[in-house]
Amino acid sequence: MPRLFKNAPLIIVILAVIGLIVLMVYTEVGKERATMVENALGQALVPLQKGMYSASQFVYNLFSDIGERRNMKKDYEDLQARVADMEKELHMLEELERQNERLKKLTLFLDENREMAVTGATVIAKNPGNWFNNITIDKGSKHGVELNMAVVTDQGLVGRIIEVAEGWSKVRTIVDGKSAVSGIVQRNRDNGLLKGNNSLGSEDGLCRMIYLPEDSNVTPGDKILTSGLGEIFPKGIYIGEVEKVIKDKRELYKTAIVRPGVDFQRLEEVIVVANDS
Amino acid sequence: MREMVILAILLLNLTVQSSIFPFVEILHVKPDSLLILTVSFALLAGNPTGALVGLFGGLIQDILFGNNMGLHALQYMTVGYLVGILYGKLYVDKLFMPLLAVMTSNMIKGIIMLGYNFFNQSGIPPGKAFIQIIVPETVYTLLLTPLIFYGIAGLYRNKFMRKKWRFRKNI
Repeated sequence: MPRLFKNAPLIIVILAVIGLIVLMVYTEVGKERATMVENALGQALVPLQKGMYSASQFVYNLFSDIGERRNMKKDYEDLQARVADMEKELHMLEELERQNERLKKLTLFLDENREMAVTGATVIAKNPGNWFNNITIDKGSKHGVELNMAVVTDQGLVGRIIEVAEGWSKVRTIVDGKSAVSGIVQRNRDNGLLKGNNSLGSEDGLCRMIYLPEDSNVTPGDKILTSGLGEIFPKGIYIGEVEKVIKDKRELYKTAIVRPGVDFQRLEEVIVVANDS
Repeated sequence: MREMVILAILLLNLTVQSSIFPFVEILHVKPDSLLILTVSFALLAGNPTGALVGLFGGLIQDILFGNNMGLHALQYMTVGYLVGILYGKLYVDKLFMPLLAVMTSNMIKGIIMLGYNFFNQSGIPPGKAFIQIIVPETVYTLLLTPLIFYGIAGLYRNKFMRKKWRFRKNI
């Protein structure tokens, strides 16, 4: 008996470890509404995080401004070279006209999305670890946010709501390893599944589009939109641009590396949209 | 008093970690200041403190950002307890011991993460994760260690931090 007491701390720690593992398994599936503790703690931290986030963004911008000023001369020369290039490009007005046409289509998609918009929201935190890619926004159930709603910016799809509290919600971004979005190539309507690039630690900001048909002629530069399959994301939201196409000899499908239109490092305002279908 | 101070430090750390650190990323990794805090407390105050700081610090992170509860709590509690065992058994200097402890802890944390990812079938190749996350994170965290450790050591020069834990025996 005294021996048992001598080892009491170790036994407590082992019990705690087992308890935590049980808790982990128990909460792995089906935790979609924030618990009461979560709600209260999150609510208390929201204003603090908001302030800190915008303060740090201000400092970041300040420093990047100084850096830009130092490079002014080099920038000036670069710009001159670019002006020369652009004059040449002016002759390709017709080409631009076509591009305009395409962009108009995108704007149309965006207008449709505006009608489905539930609320605008501000990003207040990114998860601190290096392993997952979730963000927290400052709008929750009392603003009409519901589970599985899509989150977008004017640059494209950000992700979907995975947890809702009263005054804040968690968003799983499309670059997270656990994220899967059904996508479509805008030009040739090929379907595929967009996964976050978790094999690179989900921090390189890219996605993989897998299960593209083998005969697909998808090329770098193609635009990827959501396909609306799966009924989570509304159809036709811009996701990103194909950067590289990979065809493994052993596989029956093509894979495209997609760079999302959204810059996840500097995310500030987002729009929550509902899928009204 | 002491409990309040530690809790305040943990909350402040969480806020800083989630709002400022995204802007100081190098090679896509952020330093892990909670780990440094846990190790510092464990080195300076020994065991109930080390394990408890890890447990609660990790739990707060789980509650607010985690995919499931307990993952971070498990890592930091284990680390806090293991480092806390060393308390009183060896001389803690100002630089070398904290650095060594933080480095080892980071590896332990990484191993737990790899284990979790294995059982969770998230498909991250362990080798790649080791090179692209664990190693840079360790280096970056080590750079930040002296700063935080000095801070906590300074805190421990105050008297109120040195009392023994009492679990309300006299009620």
